[in-house]
Amino acid sequence: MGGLGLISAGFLVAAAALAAVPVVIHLLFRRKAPRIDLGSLRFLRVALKDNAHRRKVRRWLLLSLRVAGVLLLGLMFARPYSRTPSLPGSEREVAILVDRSASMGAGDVARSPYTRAKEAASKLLASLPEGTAIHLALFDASGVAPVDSAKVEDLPKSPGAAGTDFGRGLAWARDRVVTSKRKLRVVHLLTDLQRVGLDHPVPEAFPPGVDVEVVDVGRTLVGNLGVDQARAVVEEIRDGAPPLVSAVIANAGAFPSRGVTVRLNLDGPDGPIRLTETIDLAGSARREVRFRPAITKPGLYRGTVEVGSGDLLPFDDRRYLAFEARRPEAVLLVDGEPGPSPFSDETYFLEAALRLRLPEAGPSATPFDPTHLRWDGGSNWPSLAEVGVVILANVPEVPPKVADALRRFVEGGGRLVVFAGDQIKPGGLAGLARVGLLPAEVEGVIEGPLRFDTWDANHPLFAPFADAQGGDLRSLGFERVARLKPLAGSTVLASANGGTALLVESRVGSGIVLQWAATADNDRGDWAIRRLYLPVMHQMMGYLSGRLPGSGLVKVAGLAPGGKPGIEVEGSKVVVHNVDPAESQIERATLAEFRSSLRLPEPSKPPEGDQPADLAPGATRPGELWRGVAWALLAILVVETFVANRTHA
Amino acid sequence: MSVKLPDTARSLVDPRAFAAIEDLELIARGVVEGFLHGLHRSPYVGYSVEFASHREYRQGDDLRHLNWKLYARHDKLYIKQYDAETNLDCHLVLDVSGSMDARNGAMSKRRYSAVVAAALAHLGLKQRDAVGLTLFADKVLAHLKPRAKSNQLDEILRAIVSTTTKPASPSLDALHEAAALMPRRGLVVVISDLLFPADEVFSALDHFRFRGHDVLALQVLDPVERALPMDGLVRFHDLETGEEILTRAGEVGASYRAAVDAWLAELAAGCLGREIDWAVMTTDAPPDQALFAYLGRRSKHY
Repeated sequence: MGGLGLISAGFLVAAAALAAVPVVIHLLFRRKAPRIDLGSLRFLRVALKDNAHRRKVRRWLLLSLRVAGVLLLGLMFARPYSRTPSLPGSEREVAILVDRSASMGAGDVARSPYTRAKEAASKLLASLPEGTAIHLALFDASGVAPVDSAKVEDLPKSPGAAGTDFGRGLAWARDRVVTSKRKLRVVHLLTDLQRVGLDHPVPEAFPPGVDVEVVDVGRTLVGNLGVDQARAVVEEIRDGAPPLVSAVIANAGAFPSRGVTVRLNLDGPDGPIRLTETIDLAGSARREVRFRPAITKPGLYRGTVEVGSGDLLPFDDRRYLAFEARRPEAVLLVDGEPGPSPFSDETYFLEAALRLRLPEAGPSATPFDPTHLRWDGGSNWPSLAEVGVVILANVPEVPPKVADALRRFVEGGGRLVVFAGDQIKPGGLAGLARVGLLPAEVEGVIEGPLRFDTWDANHPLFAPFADAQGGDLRSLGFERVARLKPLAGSTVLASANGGTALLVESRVGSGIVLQWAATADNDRGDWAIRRLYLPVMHQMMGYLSGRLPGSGLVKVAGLAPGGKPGIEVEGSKVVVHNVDPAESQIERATLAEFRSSLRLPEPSKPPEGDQPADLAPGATRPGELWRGVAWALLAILVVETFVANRTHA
Repeated sequence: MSVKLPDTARSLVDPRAFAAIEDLELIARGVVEGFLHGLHRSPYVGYSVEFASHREYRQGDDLRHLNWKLYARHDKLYIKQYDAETNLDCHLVLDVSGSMDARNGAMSKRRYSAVVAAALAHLGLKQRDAVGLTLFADKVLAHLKPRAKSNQLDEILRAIVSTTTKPASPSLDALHEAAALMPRRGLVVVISDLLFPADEVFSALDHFRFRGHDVLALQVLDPVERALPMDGLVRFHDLETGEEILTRAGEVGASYRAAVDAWLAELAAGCLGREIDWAVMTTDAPPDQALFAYLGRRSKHY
């Protein structure tokens, strides 16, 4: 149905009533203006000329009244209000929180939510009476940055690049006002109500007596394309298989995007590398884009993945990445008790764990490139020039030539791992002991059942298992293990129940030697077929090859408070900083949802004369004076009508 | 042959007015050319003056007309009254322009002036004076030569009543035209509102004086024209030009009266210097009383 509706029908009624006043007065005066016939108007003109000054004054008065009427009309629609507060500043404690998360920078700087938040904070500060205790701070997921001067001018010109954490900011504000003895305690939160920020609740609810005013300065966005992830999932350089860079592009909007251009920019030893892919994205969807940069030279590669979006959130259109391209780690598996088939080899489980792919199925799917060597007493001992890690599995003894080669290998930075086995008798591996490569002396065998009992949770090898949520090593059991007697200078990293050493470490030169009391297979237990065997072996190999997360040259770190995205060199590390991908989410919460999720108290009525920092359309501001102005305007209209009826030629 | 006057014309002859005027004498000035008998002082001798009656002396009567013989016999003072015959030419010059239609009282200036003219004609004819009539507006509209015959009053009244045009009178040139129509000296009675600048009025009246006429100017004004006695918002309408001015009368009243007073004072002073008798009458005053007061005042001069 069509038709015209009126939001404020009262205005129409009032206007009709006001319009009737001059009409009535006009009719009133018209009845009182009879026509008088005169023989001549000569003397009347003379009289009018004599009264010209008085009528001139009256016309000026009439003009003034009309000008005043127009001004009052404009003033009335400007809705003036009184700023005189009833509660003095000495009774007020106010905390103002300005959201500086990345999403606050949406759109132009002049119209961004962050700029609006600063304007609202400025108005709010201007409205506070003198003597008010003011706490002004910026907050995001990286932390809270108080502004000691409590001046908006001292706030940064643009927001940060970190995520949103309302809980952190509100907790800070709560601590500021909760101990105050002042009568009015208010926390003003100026934010864009990004829903993703609700994942961080307030640790403690606000006590009674503390008001939390939430001012929505955000804007509704209909779409946003951003790079959600960018990383090198394969850093190894293999023949025919260059490193692999994976980027995830997210479409936060509800509408599909077609022909989206995704670019990879890399710089490194191979020079600049530029790759481009074009994809289609459905609404509210994510899609992975894979790049195969033609990297042939090992070294540090750094760059960005960019998406051409043209939306109002440009900060997530670029994501930085850096990685160290290198050859796969060559691992020499010396099988001391090879079987008739690969499945019966002493190193079968270990090789499978390190390769994650059958040998006939292609190259290793991991950074490790194991090579199987059937032990024949050392006659076929290869050169270790290209080998990073040597693993001896159930090798009973090594001849002096091999021992010396291993000694040189370890001293030069190589890593050696020794697994126990049935072939290693008490006092075995004397050759290695002779060159000082064994961390512990093999004294015999301990019958089980035995399990992991204690381990050095601070050691990189076991760090992921510090929390049982990451895998409980106690589930790994052994029927028997070798009795190891750690030698001086070595460290026991893990022990079984009863204090039996399970893993001993020693450092020789620049290298590392690890000695297990367990076998590499499941001859003395079932740990090789347990699910934790794989991560333990990978963790061990990552530790030995320097490929554990965070152990390499490149480090991915969150943004420091106020930090910007980019790649920086910090000491010996190359650190990559990126925007929190959660900031790409454009979904906003309603005020009710926001308050409910963060357990904010319901807002109470402000003191007489106090003005809210922002006002919803149609809301009434305390102390509004437009009614008085309307009465004054009515009075002026009446006076103007009377004066106009008395001002004639 | 007598002409039957319409009712409207007859109504102009107010018996009450004439009854009051009947005891009065129209005393023309001595310098007027013509014959004057009885009470009329005239430089010309030869016309008879017929005795009519006596009446008791009243204070103010001219002692020359006292009958001394009766005083000797009856020890009472009697004044002799005459029915005089004269060849005095009385020219009634009546303004019938549009401005005379102003009516803000009991009657319009036009009607009031007609009553006055009729009264004077009646009185003059009764005195056996030759009475003529000139109607003017922007020009002379009608002219009756002075005659003393019996039906002259009917002619005069018919001329007054039958003239219905109300043209505008932008100037007093018509009075100059009228003066040219009056070759014999006599008494010229101008009945008009004379709403013109004093210089222009004097210019016209001087023309009559130049031709040797004795001039009596009876200025008829509407009460509103005279004093603007009102307040409130008024739309003033000029009867001749049609122009209108909307203003509050109370605010301009004082200035208006001052302007009118100054104008009338200028007219009075100018007429006095030119030996022109001049009187202002407003239509809210009864015309008989106005004539009585005026003729009474003139009679003291003779």
